[in-house]
This record gives sequence, structure tokens and C-alpha cells, in this order.
Amino acid sequence: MLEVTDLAKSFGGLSVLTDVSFSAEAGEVTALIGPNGAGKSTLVNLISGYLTPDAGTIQLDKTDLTGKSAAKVFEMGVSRTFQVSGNTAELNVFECVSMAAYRQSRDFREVNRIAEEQLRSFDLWRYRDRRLGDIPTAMVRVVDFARGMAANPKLLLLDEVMAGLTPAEVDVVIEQVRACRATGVAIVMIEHVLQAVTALADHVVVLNNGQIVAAGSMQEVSRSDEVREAYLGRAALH
Amino acid sequence: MLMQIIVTGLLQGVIYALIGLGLFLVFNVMRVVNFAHGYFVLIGMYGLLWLDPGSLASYLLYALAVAVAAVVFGYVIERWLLEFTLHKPGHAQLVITISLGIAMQYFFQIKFPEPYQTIANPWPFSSVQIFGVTVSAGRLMAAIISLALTIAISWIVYRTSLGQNIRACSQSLPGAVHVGINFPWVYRSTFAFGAGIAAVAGALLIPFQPVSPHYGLDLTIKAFILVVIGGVASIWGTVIAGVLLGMAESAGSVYISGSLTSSVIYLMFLLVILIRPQGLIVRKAAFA
Amino acid sequence: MTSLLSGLRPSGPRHAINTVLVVFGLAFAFVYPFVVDPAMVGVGFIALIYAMRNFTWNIAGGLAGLLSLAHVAGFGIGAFAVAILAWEHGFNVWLAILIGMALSGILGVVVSLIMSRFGVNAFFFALGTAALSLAVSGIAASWSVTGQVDGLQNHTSGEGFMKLQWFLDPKPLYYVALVALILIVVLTVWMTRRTRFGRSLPFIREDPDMAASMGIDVIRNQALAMGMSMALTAIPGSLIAQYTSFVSYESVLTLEIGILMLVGAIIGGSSTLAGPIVAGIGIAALEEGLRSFDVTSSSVSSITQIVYAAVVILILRLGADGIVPMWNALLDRLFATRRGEGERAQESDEKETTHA
Repeated sequence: MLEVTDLAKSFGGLSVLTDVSFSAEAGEVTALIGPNGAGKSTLVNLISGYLTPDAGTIQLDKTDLTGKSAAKVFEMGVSRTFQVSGNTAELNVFECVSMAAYRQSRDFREVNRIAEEQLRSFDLWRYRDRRLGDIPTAMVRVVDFARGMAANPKLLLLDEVMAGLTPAEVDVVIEQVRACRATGVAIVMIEHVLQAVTALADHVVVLNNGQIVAAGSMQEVSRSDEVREAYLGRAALH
Repeated sequence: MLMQIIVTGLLQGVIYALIGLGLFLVFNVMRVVNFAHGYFVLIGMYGLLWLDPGSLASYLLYALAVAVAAVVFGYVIERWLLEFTLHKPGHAQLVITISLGIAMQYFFQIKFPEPYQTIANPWPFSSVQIFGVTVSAGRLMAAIISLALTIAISWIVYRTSLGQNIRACSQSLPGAVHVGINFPWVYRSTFAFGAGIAAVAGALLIPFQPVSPHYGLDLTIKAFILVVIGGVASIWGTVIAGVLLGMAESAGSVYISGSLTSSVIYLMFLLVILIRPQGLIVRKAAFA
Repeated sequence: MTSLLSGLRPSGPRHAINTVLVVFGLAFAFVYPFVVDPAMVGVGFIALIYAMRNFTWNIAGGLAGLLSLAHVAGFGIGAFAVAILAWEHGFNVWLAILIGMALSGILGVVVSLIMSRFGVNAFFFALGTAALSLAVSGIAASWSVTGQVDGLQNHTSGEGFMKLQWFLDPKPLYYVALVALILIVVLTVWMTRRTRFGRSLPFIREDPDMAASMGIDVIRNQALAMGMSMALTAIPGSLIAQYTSFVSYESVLTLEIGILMLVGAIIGGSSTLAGPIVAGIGIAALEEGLRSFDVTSSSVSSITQIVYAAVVILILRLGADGIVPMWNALLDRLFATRRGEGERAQESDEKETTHA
């Protein structure tokens, strides 16, 4: 579904990503892991259209995404999660999900129907009148999924959705990711929380210093020497 | 005629550059464009108007006094009105500096209802001939002192440890904090310093430039134009932009009417943004 | 229609109280000219104009997050459109109003597109739009078509709805302004609830990056918001021209007016619909109050400007959002004990389920 080939990006002479190639299949969770500063956020920003790569291509379902704007990339089927900042706390939950649903329809009633459907399926309907800043943190992440799925995307980019959650909350969110995967969407997940990676990842890609150092299943990757080196000194559990 | 435009424009431009410099520093360090900056210049202008110096010595003394007053005022404003808004979402700083400017404008309006006033020439000579152009003492001395101050400020910013702290804060606040820089102090002193520079520029202007309360707005916009055209991050970009503005203005007042000159300049500015938003000056050395 | 009205159905005690206040306010506004001195009807008209232009400014400012100082240009274009086209050249005044709206709207779109080159820097936007307003004002002051410093006078005769002027009776214009304000508010509410464009504005305002990631064309929608907002701001400009029968660059194109719109909407509460309207009415009342204390008119405007500046700085310093949000917060606090308990019980239930 997603094919990233030879992607490279530098900022003012500093090379952040070099020769990055990987793929993510529909109906699978591809986890992108690596230490801080490895370039994961940059990679997600490139795929979702916020940055333009210096070299390489990004293809979604054989269509070229490279260098297209964020709004265009969304139209083509990429949904991503966003961290709730001071500003976004003001936004209404129902509106968040509805806006994404406009990818599927232009009709006001239809869009609201899709939003309601998504909210109910993620058990968020009781939060529909609330603001993002007024609901429990774990639920904000789930709203992100509802928002992402309301667009009926081909690719869902999850950017550290487990950050700051208790282990019990992580379990809840893991369930929601599984539900998304079951619909056939390709999921690319940046994650530090190993509990989630172990539970969900069908395929793992390890990034270090802007390059892919290993790719494969979780077992294969955790046996690799480069990966151990990248994580040297870090506790295995978050 | 051409000489007149060049000489007057150059001299005026250097003074504009000093005013722009104050705005430049505050913006680069605090990411705040102080809407009241032009009105800080008015503190200098109206301050001297009120104190009414009779001699060169008293002129210089009063100029220093208003500069100090402006520095204190700037510190108070930053500390009590701006600091709490920084790093928070929303546009509070913008609205606060706009409101401050308006409050100052109407304060001056009430205290000095008579428009277009100046003070008598304090310098020991009345005018000078430069390349066949008559230049008033006030304008010449203002330009010379402005240039000297600009060079001094540039030296401070690029060659002292204080300047290093300033540049560190402007480049990356988390980085600066990480290195242990006391950034609230940097913010306060930069803002206060900007106010001081503005007041000095005002003191230099009042012997030959008539003042009215709304002049503060014009000066803020012009300072802003300088910073943008100069590429936002280069001191000398701002200075060059100041000279360009000065020359455009003097050319304008010769070929089109005075009040229309500003309008044309503002529209040209919008055109420049449209074509080249990163400014006209190609910067080689960034600020940080 | 039902979903439009569903927004009006009271969803709590605060909402109920506010609805009652709005209904009473509207009723009062309709009977106002008949229960006050004839001289006060003019004050009421001015209050409506202030309310209207604060509200139309807020479409760009509070809804879309574009703190514009260009709106006085829209206001002035509306005023000069009727002066130049209707008074000087005999156009039908309603046509002149429409042309003024169109010109103002186009200017709004153009300014927004130019300013988009800066990204989302609010300071740059405010200052760039201020430069534009100063430019427009300067041109009006120098151009013979706009009457230069002397301005333009209404020398036409004839009264009535088609000419939109009544020289002795302020009541008809008052009602025209009232109906215009109501229509503008209804249009805005419809736009923000039922159109994709309107629903996208909070996202553009709070986080343009996130908005883009949801397929929203941020630059285009900002330009549309500016265009719509500026076009509507021309209406109070046209109306006040018809009322005073005189326009000059000094009466309708000063940057002080532009700043007043911004400050007024923020004092009232730019995140609400009622805020800008309440502030406009309050400011008109304040000005009238000062005049009744025999303060000279130049000092009136100076003192009121300083008061607004102080008030808005105070409100922001207190961390509040404006008068109407403060009122809402007060109501919430008054009714907190009953609602709060219910909500807290609900929240602890929710925390239970997430840990299950």
C-alpha cells in the first residue's frame, strides 16, 4: 500500500534522513521505532505532506505522493494523528470527526451521520459535545482514531499515540488500533512504548541516525546487533 | 535635485534604521512585534518638547533623561503586561501592544493637543552644505549619532557575551535555557533597551521633525517594513532597508505629494511581500 | 432547519438564561425608538452600527483567527461607495451598497492572499493589514474623487426606502440597521454550522497544520473568510454614510476605527457571537454617557480610546476571554453545585471503565 523509496531530507546542511526505504501493507500495523532524534517525526511529516523530501519517492497504492501538500495528501487517503496542544484543546469532538468525514461526502447530513457512526463505534458518543481539552487523555487519542477513520483512509499514521498513558489506558488504545487494522487500513505507527509495539506490530522498521538499521518481525529485529546498539543503555520497558 | 534626494534620503534612512533596530531586536529575541514601538519614539519626542531644553548641554541631558525614562517604562511594560502572555496560545501580546500604543497616542493627544510641534535647534551650528545640498544641523547630527549607535549596538550583539545570550535566545529558547541562560532577564533587558533606543531616536528627531500623536503609528509601520524588507534576521539588512526607505520617501516627496508618499510606500511594501516575502536584502549572515 | 434550531435549544441553565436575555434584548431593540427621546434614536442607530462592524470584523478575527486591521478599509469603501456612486453620480443607493460590498470583499481576498506569504504570523498580518489601511486612507485624503480632506456631502434630495435616506426621522434607518444586523448574524450562524467552510474555521484558527491534515485548504478558506468579513463590513459603512450625509477619509478611514473594531470585539468576547454586539452597544452607551457630562467631543474620543485600551489590557491580564465569556463563566459558577456533582459522578464512571 505505502512504498517509501530512497527518501532523503536535510535541514540546513544537517542530514536527517538518508536512503530510507520501507513499505507498509494494507491490513497490517508497521511499527517505526528508534531512539530520539532518529528521524521518525521527520519521516512522518514527509509522508503526510508537511515537508518535501530532497530525494526519493513516496507512493500510496501506486499513486505518487511525493512533495504534495498536506491537504492534498489527505484527499489521496492519508490520515494522521495530532498531539493536542494548548490551542486544539478548544475544539469540539464532534466537529473534529465530522471535518474528516468530508473526504467521503459533501453532504451535511451524510457527513454528520458518518461522524456519529465513527463516534459510536469507538464508544465516544457521550463526548460529542465536549472539547478536546475536557475529556480524559486516553479518550483524546481514541478521538484521533475516530477522526482518522472517518475519512475512510488508505493509510493511518499514528504519531506516538501511547505517550503518557497508563498501562491500562495503553491496552484500551491497543484494542482500538486492532479495530482499525481489521477494516483493512494500512497503519504506520511511530512508537516508543514497547508494550504496544509487541502487541500490535506485524512488521517493525528500526530507524537510527536517519537510516534504517533493521526491518522484519519483532523477534528478528530484537535479535539484531545494530538495534541493540541503538538502544544501548535504554531500559527495555518504557 | 537628485543629490537632494540621495543626501536627505540617506540621512533620514539612517535614523529610520535606528528605530527599526529596536523593533528588530525585540522581534528576534521575543518573537513579538511591538505595535507600540513607534510610540516609544514619541516618548523621546514629546519628552523633549515638554522639557524644552535651552542649550546644547540641557538638550543632551534631557535626551539621556527621556532615554532612561523609556528604559524603565519598557521594563515595566514587559514585566507586567507581556511576560505572562509569552509561550501561551492566543494573540494576547498583539492585542496588548496595540492597545498600549493607542492608549499612548491618546494620552499624547490630550496632553499635547497642538499638532506638528518641534523644538528649537540645540546644535551650535544651523546648517551645513553637503554636495551642494543644505542640510539642517538637527538632521545631520541625528544621522551621525544614529549611525554611531547602530554600529555600537551591532558590536554589542555580535561581539560580547551579552549579545551572545541575546542571539542564543533568539535562535532557540529551549537551547538557551538548556545552557543556563536567564531568559526572562534577556527578554526584559532587550525590550527595555528597544524602548530606550526608540526614545533616543525621538530625541534626535524632534529638533527638525514635527510631532503629532498619530506619528507613532507611522513609525511603527515603517520600522516593521524595515525589518521585513531587511530579511527579518540581519541587522545590516534592516539598516540597508532603512536607507532605501529614506530615499524612497525623499524621492516621493519630490515627485508626488507628501501625504501620498506614505501610501505609495505602503502599497509597494505589500507588493514586495507578494513577490518576495523573505525580504529584498539577501542575507549572508543570519542573526544567530 | 431543525439542526439549525437544535443549536438554540437550551442545553443547561446558562444557555436558558442567555436565550431569555437575547429574546428580551431583541424585543427591546424593536420597541426602542418608540420608548425613548427622539434624540436617543440616533444613539441607538450608532450603537447598532458599532455592534454590526464589531460582529463582521469578528468573522475574520474571532472565527478565523485573522486579527485584521484592514477592515476599516472595508468600512470606508462602503461609505465612499454610496457617497461617490449615489450622491455624486446618481446611482441607485442599493446598487452602490452592493458595489461597495463587492469591492471590499475583493480587497479582503487580495490582502489575505498577500499576507498568506508570511505563513501564520499574527503580528505580520496585523501590521501588513494596518499598512494597507493607512495606504487607503492616505489615498482618500489626496484624491479629488474622495473629496480629499474636505470629504463628500450628500446633496441629493428625496426620501424613502429606495433612496435609503430620511432627513428628519432617524427611525427608518434605525430599523434598516437592526434588520441588517439580524440578517448578518443569522447568515453567520448558518455559515458556521452548515457549511464545510464555516465548520473549518475553528480548526484554521486553532491549529492550521492540523486543519491542513484534514484536507482543509487553509489559505483559500482564510481568503474567503477575509472576503466575506470585509464585504459585510461595508454595510455599516454605507449605512452610516446615509445617516450622516457626509463622508471623509477622517470620518470613516482612520486606523483608530480599525483598531476599535478589533478591540471592541475582543473586549466583548471574540469567541462568542454576542460578544462583539454587546461591546458595540456598550461603547456607544459609554460615549453618550461621556457626552452627557459635557465632555468636549475631541476629549470624548480620546478618553474613550484610553478606556478601551485599559479595559482590554485588564481583561487579557486577568486571563479572561471577554465580557460575554466572563458572564458565561459567572453563570456556570452560580449553577455549578448542581451540575458539577452530576458531571463529576459521570467522569468517575468513565475513569472506571477505562481501567477495566
